[in-house]
Amino acid sequence: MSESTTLQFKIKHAGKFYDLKLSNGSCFQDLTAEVETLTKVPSSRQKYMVKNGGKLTKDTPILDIIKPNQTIMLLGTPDENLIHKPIKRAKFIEDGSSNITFSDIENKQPIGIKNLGNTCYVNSTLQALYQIEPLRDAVLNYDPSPLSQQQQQQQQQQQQQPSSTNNSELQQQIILVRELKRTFQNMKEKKLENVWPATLLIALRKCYPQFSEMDQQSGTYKQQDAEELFTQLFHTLKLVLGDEILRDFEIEFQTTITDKNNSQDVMIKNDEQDLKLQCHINSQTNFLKSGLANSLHETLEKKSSITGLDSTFQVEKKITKLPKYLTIQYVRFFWKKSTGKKSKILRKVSFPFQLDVSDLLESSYSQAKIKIRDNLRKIDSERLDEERELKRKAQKNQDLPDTNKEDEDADLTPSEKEELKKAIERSRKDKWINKFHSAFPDNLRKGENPSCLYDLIGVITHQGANSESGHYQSFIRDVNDTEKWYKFNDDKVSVVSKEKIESLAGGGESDSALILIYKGFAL
Amino acid sequence: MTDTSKKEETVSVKAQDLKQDEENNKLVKKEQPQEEELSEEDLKLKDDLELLVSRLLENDTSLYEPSLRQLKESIQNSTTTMTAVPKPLKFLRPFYAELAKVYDKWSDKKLKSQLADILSILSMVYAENGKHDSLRFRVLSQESNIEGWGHEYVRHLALEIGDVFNSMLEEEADEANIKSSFDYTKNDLLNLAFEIVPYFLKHNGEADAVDLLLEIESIDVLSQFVDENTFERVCKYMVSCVPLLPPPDDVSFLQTAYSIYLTENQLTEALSLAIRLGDESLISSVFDATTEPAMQKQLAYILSEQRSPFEREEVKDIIGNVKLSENFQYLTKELNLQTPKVPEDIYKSYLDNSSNNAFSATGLDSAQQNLAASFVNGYLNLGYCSDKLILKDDNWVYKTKGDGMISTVASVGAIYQWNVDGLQQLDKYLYVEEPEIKAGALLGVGLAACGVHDGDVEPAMLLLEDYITNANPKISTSAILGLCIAFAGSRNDELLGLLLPFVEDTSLPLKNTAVAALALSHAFVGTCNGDITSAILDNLLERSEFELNTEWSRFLSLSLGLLYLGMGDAVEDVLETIAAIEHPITSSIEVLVKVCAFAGTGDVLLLQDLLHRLTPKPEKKDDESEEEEEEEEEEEEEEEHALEDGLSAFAEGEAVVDIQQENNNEDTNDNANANAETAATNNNSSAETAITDNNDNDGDEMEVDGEENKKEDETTEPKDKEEQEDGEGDVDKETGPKAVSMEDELIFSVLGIALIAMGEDIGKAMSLRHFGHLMHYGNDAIRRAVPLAMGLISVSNPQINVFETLSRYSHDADMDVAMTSIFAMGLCGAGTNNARLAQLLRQLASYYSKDQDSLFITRLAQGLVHLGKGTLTLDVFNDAHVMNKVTVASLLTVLVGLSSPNFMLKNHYLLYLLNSGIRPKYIIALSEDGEPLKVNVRVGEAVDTVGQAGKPKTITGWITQSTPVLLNYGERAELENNEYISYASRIEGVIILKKNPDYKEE
Repeated sequence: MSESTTLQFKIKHAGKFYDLKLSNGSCFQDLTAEVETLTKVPSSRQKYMVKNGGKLTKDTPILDIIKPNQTIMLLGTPDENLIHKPIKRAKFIEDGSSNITFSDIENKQPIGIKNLGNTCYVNSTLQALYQIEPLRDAVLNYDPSPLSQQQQQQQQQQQQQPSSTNNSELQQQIILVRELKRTFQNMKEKKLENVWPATLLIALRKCYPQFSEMDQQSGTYKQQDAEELFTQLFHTLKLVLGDEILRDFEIEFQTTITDKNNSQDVMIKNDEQDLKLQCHINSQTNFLKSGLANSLHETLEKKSSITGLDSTFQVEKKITKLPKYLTIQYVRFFWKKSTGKKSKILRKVSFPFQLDVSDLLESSYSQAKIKIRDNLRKIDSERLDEERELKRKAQKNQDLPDTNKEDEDADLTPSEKEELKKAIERSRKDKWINKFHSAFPDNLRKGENPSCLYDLIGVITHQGANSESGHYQSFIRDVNDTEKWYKFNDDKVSVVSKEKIESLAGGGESDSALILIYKGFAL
Repeated sequence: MTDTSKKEETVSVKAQDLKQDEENNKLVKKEQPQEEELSEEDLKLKDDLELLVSRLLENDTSLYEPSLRQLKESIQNSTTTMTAVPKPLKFLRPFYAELAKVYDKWSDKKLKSQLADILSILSMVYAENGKHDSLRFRVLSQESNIEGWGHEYVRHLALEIGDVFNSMLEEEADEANIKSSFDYTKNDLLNLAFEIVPYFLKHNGEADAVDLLLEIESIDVLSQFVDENTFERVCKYMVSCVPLLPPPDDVSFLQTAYSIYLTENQLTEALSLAIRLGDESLISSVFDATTEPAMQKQLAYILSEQRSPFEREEVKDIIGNVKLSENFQYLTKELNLQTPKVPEDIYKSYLDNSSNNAFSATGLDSAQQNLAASFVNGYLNLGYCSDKLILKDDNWVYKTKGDGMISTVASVGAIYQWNVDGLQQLDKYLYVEEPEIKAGALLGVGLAACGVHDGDVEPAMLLLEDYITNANPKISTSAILGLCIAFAGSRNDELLGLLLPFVEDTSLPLKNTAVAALALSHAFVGTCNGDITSAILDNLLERSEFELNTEWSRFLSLSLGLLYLGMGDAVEDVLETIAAIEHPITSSIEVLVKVCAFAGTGDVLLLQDLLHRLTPKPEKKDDESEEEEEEEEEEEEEEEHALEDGLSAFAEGEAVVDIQQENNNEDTNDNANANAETAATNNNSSAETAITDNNDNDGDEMEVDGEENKKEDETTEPKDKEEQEDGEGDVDKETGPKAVSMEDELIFSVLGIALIAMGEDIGKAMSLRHFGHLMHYGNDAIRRAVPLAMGLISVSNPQINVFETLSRYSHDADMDVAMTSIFAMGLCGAGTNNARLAQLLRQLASYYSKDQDSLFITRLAQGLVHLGKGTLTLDVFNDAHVMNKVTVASLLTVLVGLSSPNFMLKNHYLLYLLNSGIRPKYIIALSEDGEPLKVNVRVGEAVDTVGQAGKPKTITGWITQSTPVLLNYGERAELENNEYISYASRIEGVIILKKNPDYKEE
């Protein structure tokens, strides 16, 4: 009886099966009503996956739709599952309505300098100089307007060397610094995609005619030696901004000259200064340190003032003052007569990221420095421990997604979260800086590095076989992240890994370091 | 005279002496006959032979027969080495001519036949080349036992048969020559061949047998000769020959191999060939050949992988892929992959500081990057039915905007791909007010139902058909695209009825028509459906040039191509129709349709034609197509030569002239000069750049033109100049369409090279080399297409050299090239989890961290590499070398779209068309009842064993694993032991196993 009058079938909805029984006479409307009570899907939203499923009306007899014991798939969403729009509309970078635009993002990264035809040596040098804080600040704060000061200086100059040509030369130097300032400003503001150093170049070439050498064939300016420019710019800065500016770079030496034939003939000088250390490369040099040591031991041949005979003298230099910023020059270029060019020594000479120069110091000075060095290192290892601890904690948090914490943060917008994170970081950083400073000795001279440790912050590299060809680039460490380096290839700036920097030690025609800039540890 | 010269003299004197000695020796040899050197045995043999021959030359007929018999015996009994002529043959040499004359004199038929037998073997050694005496005497002889003469003789005969048969055919073709120059007929040859073939087959000479039958055009009779011992080798050889044969031989080879497999009851192999032949009646006779349900299921699984529309009531579930999702879930469960992944898992941005900070610093979300995350999430969790991003978070979709919402919602469908349960998940999105979200849900419905048809009800059709006429274009296109994905390969007639009006209607916007045509062509891929063809053609013709000047017109052309995908010569009619039309777009359609038709064939002639199209034309022409001119107009011979030079240079890997440089040769120079002048007045720096540009150009031309061409240029310069001006004027008048069409033609040609070459390994390797040249010297359009073609040719096959090259291109100054290269990198590694590729892409992501569009594409590529967490593939061919037409169609559609990357970035939802071509790359073993089995299989690199002696291993460097396992590109599997017997001859996809009754555990 029941079989003939009722229809049994199954409905499958959202992975669940429902058994249904309807009398044979019922129509589609009855079905939907029944299903609505079962699944809570309103009848208007019920979709039955049956033949002609789209054309069902209220009155379609149920037997037309369903066969006995059939399983029918039903689609439909109950009210509670409907999607509710979020109240707060998400804001996107693409909207562009917000104050923060793409250029802000780019501000995070330093910008490059356009190559105006064989000017990569200028670009790489500028980038390196810009990275030295005191120097950058001095240039940026340079105010050429008070003419009186200039005139004073000029007068001083004129008193020393009273000639009119000199006056105009100084004028040129001032213009050059002014241009330098402008360039630095552009680099700081990052308003443009990259910096055009056109006017700077004009000033530079007027000031130092050696840089305006032209190539006869192509009619373009020739490639120059970045190291020469580096030195000349220091010279300019000294002239215009005064000796003060170079304090942070000056190395003082104690020089001992000994006659090899007459060991009594010893002369000690204490007044030598230099702006950079040189790293001489010979066939035994594999490490920066040995090259440095080489350059501090020299032999001379001259007439002995005591015996009056020609004799070999041993010149030995010991450092008596370490500057905050130590510049090291790889002496890679040498004049090769056969080619008539400055050729390059391609030898690999590896350099450390942290340089300890204690063995180049004068002995008593060295002891003092080593003491401070050890103190600083202790503090540093404490700092590293703390960082490691923090990292481990962060890792744990990531592994076990703490729902509570997420809820707390959920109230903050991403930018607020970011700021909070930054503030915490900053306070932590300040704490350590203070700690380091407490370990510094009180009797530091101006521009002196408290310890004998240095961190590498910049590298100027050269690629190619001689100084007049090839390509200069600079690699600069990020101010905050010691693991992150920027590569400045003219106007292209990219992030490179620390490993890449290691590979700049030379050993081929690819980029090899020419000038290293070290900054005193913990400064 | 110096010492050295003296020495020289003595040396030369000595040498002369030596020479004289030698000559003397020779003389001595001649004077004293060889008898001295011959051993007694040989001497006797020689005397005997001479006696026998002399008897034959005499008139005593009674002696003929015994002598002939003896002669034959002595020849047959002689042993021989590989290099030396058998002794009896050597001694009979002087008598060959006489014996041949004797033959003509004799009248006794029997004797004549016997003599011919011997003469035939003798002429193998002595007859003049090209006379085919060996064959002639063979035919004249009635002696039956050919085998007795040995292998070398039979091979010689086979060679001559081939030669003679061909020259007979030539004679026949030449109607004037009524009388044949041969004194035997073709039938004689055939009969002889049919005697030889079994001999070859018996003696491991299957290659010779097949070659002989190919020569005499009777490959179809081969099935009579093979038996259960030989068929396998024969068929393997035949199938591997196919890519090297010109049509129609390739088809007849496949057909013969098919019938052999069928008679030998190798049903799965027969089925593979039936699918390749694309003939439903063949498929159904494979099914008819068995009553075993398990075998039927096995066949159905093979068919289902191809998304075949074949219908058979008993196994329609399997063919309709209803079990696909279940099987895939089983695989992921066994491989312990079910935990969902989020995009960040593969971005690994914590490894890279720069990109991490770039966006978080602003505190803003990027809608485009969220969209990318949706795509990547969809790729990663494709078919897993679970994820962490969108299923539980209804508001994720609001983190994207505009059209991005379409693709974001559709990703739900991708996560539920092959599983209709996904429809319920998508249902809720249909009640949202934003049309984009609705549209996304519709597209998702198509994805979830992709390739799944259980026969009675088509849920996707039910849900989507109401929306295809929706007033909102976003909703209607998405519904149609949803249908396109759901019904790819299905040949659903209902769909045809539903969408054909859209294709016919010329008043609709081109976009709607193109999308509808695309949907139909995906559903009817490779069917040559006439209704759709004519509808598309009519529609194309009605459209104004202005309308066709959009990217959508490419899809209309592509639809036409897809209809003829892999159909070979069937395309001729359509090509004729197209050629008759005068329309700027025709040349590009022609290329596209042709390459589609011959996809995967490796057709060398067609490849050459395509390369020809890519070489620069010396000048632009007004009307007719280029080829016609080349053949017709004589006056242009000079240019033609230049062109051919270029072509041959190209073929040799030398150089190709950049089309634009050639065309605008002087133009660029003028410009450069002008630049230089103006710049000089302005300032130094820009002058420098202009000059360097100029230099660069010059340099390129030098390199490219070579000296000869340069001279030619100089001589033809005035003429060229005039014509160029004409040409340019015309282009200006005609404006866009023609230029667009030209560009399309180039793009399609590049893609076509990949499409055709991908069926054959050597062609593949060669085309990769060509791509390098095209990248060097091609214009912008070509350079954009080349990376895509490289991606297409090595899809899911990450070869280091390919993706390293692409990685180089990904830093190209032209952003379009960079983007296509990045995407191609993704294609190369699709579903492989290739670590090296992933690393490269991560670097790219950091490199392009500031460029939204490139970053988007990079993300897509990253997603593709980790497609289905490395369980899926887009590989076009399977182990049986069957081309998966649905996959080709889906790949091609996306690649054609990507040939202008910016178009694709706007219409990113078209990327979902890729999903219909995705399939799991698993091996799952089932028992006869359909329960999963765990058996050990060896998976290793596939080895080509065609034509190798003995029973070589088919895989190398294998690892033994328990099913289910993953099978990567170029890998093959075999069962570890004989505990089970597989119904399928190739261990791939879903295989059904039965217990081996004879198995004994060791």
